[in-house]
Amino acid sequence: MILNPELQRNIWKDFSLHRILIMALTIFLILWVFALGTNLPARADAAFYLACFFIFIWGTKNASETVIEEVNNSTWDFQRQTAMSPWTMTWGKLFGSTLYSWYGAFICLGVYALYALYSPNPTTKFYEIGILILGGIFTHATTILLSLQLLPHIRREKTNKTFRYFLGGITLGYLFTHPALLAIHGSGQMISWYGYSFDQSHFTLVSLCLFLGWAILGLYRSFAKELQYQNSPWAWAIFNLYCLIYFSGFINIQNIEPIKLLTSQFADFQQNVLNAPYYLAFFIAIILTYAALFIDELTLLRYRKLVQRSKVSFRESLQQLPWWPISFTFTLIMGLAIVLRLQSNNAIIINYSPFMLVFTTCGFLLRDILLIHFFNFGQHPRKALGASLLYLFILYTLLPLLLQALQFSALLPLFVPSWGQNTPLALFSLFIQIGLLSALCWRRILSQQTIIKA
Amino acid sequence: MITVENLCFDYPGKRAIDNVSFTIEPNTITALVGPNGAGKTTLLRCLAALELPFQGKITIDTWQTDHFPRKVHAISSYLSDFFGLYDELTVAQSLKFFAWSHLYPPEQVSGVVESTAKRLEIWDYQNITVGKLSRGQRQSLAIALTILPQPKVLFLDEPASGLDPAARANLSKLLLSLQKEGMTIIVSSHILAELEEYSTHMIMMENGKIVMQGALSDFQKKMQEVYLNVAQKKHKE
Repeated sequence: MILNPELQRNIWKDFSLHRILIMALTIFLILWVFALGTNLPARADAAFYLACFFIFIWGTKNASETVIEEVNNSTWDFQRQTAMSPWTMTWGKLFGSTLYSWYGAFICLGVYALYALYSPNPTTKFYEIGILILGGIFTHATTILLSLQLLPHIRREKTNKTFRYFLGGITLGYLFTHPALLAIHGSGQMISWYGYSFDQSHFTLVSLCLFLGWAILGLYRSFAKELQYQNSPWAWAIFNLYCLIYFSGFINIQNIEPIKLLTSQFADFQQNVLNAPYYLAFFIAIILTYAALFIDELTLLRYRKLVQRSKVSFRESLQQLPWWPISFTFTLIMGLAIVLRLQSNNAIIINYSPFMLVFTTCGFLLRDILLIHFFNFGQHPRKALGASLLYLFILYTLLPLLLQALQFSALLPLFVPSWGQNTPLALFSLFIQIGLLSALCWRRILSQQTIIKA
Repeated sequence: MITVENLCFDYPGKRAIDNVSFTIEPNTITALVGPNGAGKTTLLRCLAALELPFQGKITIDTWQTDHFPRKVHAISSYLSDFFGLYDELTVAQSLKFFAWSHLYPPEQVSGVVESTAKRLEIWDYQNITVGKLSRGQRQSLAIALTILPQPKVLFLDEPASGLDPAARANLSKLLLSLQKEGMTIIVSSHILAELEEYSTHMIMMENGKIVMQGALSDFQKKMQEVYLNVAQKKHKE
């Protein structure tokens, strides 16, 4: 019987008799060493952490290399021309590239399950195994997704560096898997989401499953894009909406009910807190805008294609639409919602203006959008990603720190969003920076057009 | 079979293909010639729907590449000049993997693998890992993988580079036999001499533009005229 072709290829590649035996033998020896002189829980922990190593370190490393190696070894174009569907590619790469590390992990998890049978609470242990497997698949899926999304950068840079995808994938994997593992041990603890109480362990497990679903959908769509299927960014728009709704639910508004209308200060405070879910959604939309700017292709060529396609049909132009305008629109909508909902009376924070905070935050975001585009619009945008990150680090960290150290805190609105302090300077600085970067971007657009016309 | 209309393709800061138009008849072998950097590889990648054109239209056997790229992938095959192979697999495994990837029915896989490998004279190495093959054998395997899905249109980018004279002669024979079977083939090279052995048509590119195109016989006449003109100019000078 033929499995998935990509899965079969990985089995041929990784599963020689020698490799099958040596993996089992190595795990057996490691666990034996731990079994000598330790008690039962310590032995179980050793098996558990060894499984974590196989899943999160080794598996994620393999996942980060799977597509990049194909590109670097020039086999990727062969695969792109095959009749494999994006789903076949998704499952084949996701499980094929990590199959050998899963083999090691399942041996360890098998040993852990045996120990679990003799533990006082076996259900929790089996629950842990389930979360580890789901978290592992999520980590691998996000790692491959990152590498696929950054393929245009990789083709430009002609690099075989995969550590950044490994790091990105493992960080996201940790952020979603660790809370789920912790939640099991706090059995009975409740979590409030939009005022509704849920069992924490169930909630984190369901959340992990949902984000895993998003990661797999993202993988499918990225493979579809590589295989030249027509792709409009509706999935990114729905994912943005999902994140805004999901994360805003964690602000528990009901907890502040008892202090309702005590004094004018508390009323203002309460109004701010009631607005907190909107602030959180605003913040999430900003993060998603930056994510879109860093993982999407932003070359001038793409925008020229967008303009070109928009002359043919709206539907075709959608396929060239970058992701950041979608997230930026959500940012503006959430900012507007904050401004419309809240009129501060400055009772708690002196000079606090929600309007100024939203306005300057959106302004700085726009400046960063222009800055990132400036680097991507270059004739050789190989280092656009690194250069953008470096400049953002200087603008948001080094320069504000320097101003503070020199005791020029009043000048901070030059580089960070202002919530009402030194408003004229904040506005002046924003207009200058946005104007300057717009001019620089425009210059790059014109210079490239001149080169192409020549 | 292939129609290209006003094709433009850009890289950041560079126009690689500039308003190119041509037609290729079915069952022909067209040589795509020109110096390095002329745009041959980019053109072949656009024809194979691995890159979508910035402007213009490419139609392969009724399918427009920017609207139906997967249909184009299904009827065509492209071999890059810098192709890669799975070095850890054996020759037979590589061919089987590609047969499965092209959705051959399971009962036909062994047959198609064997016949393709025999055609390229690599069946004797079926159990050898690809990493141990010589340059010529690797090239043969790559061509085998390219023709395995039995495409209607074949795009070969510098297929003879690195091959010894005997292997080049075999390649010529293979291309002619594929043409007889009804395949339409485009082969790029910057060496004119080797293309004359099997080409029926030629397209010459320079700086992303087509400078000359036509049947090989017409092409040779035009080339003679060009050389004569150049010689006469030099003589006058």
